[in-house]
Amino acid sequence: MIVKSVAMQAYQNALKLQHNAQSKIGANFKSSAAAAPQGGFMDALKGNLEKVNDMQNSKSELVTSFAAGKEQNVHELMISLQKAGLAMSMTSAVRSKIMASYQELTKMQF
Amino acid sequence: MKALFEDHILVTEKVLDLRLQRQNVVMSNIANVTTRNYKPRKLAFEEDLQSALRLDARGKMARTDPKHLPSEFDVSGFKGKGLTDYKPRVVYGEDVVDLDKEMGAMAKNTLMYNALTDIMSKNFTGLQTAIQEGSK
Amino acid sequence: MDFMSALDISASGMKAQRTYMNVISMNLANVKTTRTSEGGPYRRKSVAFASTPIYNPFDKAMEDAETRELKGVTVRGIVTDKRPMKKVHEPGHPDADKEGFVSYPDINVVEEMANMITTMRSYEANVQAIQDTKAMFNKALQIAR
Repeated sequence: MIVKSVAMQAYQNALKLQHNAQSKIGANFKSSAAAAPQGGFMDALKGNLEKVNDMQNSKSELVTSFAAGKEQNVHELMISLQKAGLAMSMTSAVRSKIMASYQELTKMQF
Repeated sequence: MKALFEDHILVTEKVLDLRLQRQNVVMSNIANVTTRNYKPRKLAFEEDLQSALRLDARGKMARTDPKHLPSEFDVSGFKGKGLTDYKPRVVYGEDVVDLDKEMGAMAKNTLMYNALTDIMSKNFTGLQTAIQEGSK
Repeated sequence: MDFMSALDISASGMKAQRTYMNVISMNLANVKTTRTSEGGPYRRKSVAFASTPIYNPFDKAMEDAETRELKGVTVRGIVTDKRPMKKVHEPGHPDADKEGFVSYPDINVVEEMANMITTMRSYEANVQAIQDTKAMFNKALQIAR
């Protein structure tokens, strides 16, 4: 599924960047932790959010046309509902993981 | 708070009401299957909704009666009276009640009603999940 | 593809079978009728079916090419059978002709009963088709449950 791989990629990117940040900690903690997660990570997250938003919009349109009686493919509608719901859950799960790992990073003391 | 309940939730809510009304009309047709001089009725709302939601290919139309749905539904117009004041038309048919057609209409209506209630509950569950996850 | 066409098609099938059933009962009731309002003895009737498109040509559902292929059934008309009558020699009958033969309709009761069983089975098959369509719809609802 496209959403799953994008979300997983975002999560893996976050982990990779966290690893990079950890390895640079001996040199200069503050700047690396602030600079390293910014670049590829934020773009991946933004792309993911846009995709989820698109899914929500198409779900909304599909529901409206189903309710008005124009479109009667109920399985298409149900699949789109599930997709949108799962994308939302996956995104919020990834988000909470990233927040937790970032907070762990900032909690590190020397 | 403005966009908490999206457009499709409002439309679904209204259509659930309309489907219930249609169920009543169909049941009264079926009850009167042997009544002499009874003309079967049906409730028509689908074309009106579709043209108002701009889901069909017709162009924009002038609104000649305040009770008509506005021919353009925009997002802010939903909050107004356009959708809640809509009354569907009852169409009178010709001679006799056709029992099989009425049973078919009732089956269709029931299926659509069940599907719409499932959609509503799924929407609200999704909203609740988003709210709970966001508050963590 | 329209989901609900199956319901309309089955409903039209059921209506046609009911009409046929009425005609069969009429035939069975008039097995020995020798006088009708048109004059002669009763002639056996049967039904002509025709496959017709289920929707009005201007209906939105007809824009789909696949839906245009779907046809339901309607009763085109009730046709009179042209079988020759059965002539029985009964000189005392009020409807006897000059040689003493009475024309009875050539209705075979066994044939009509067989037709009746076929009609009933077709009706049941249509009802079953409707049930199956509803079950499919409900299964699709379970995707999102």
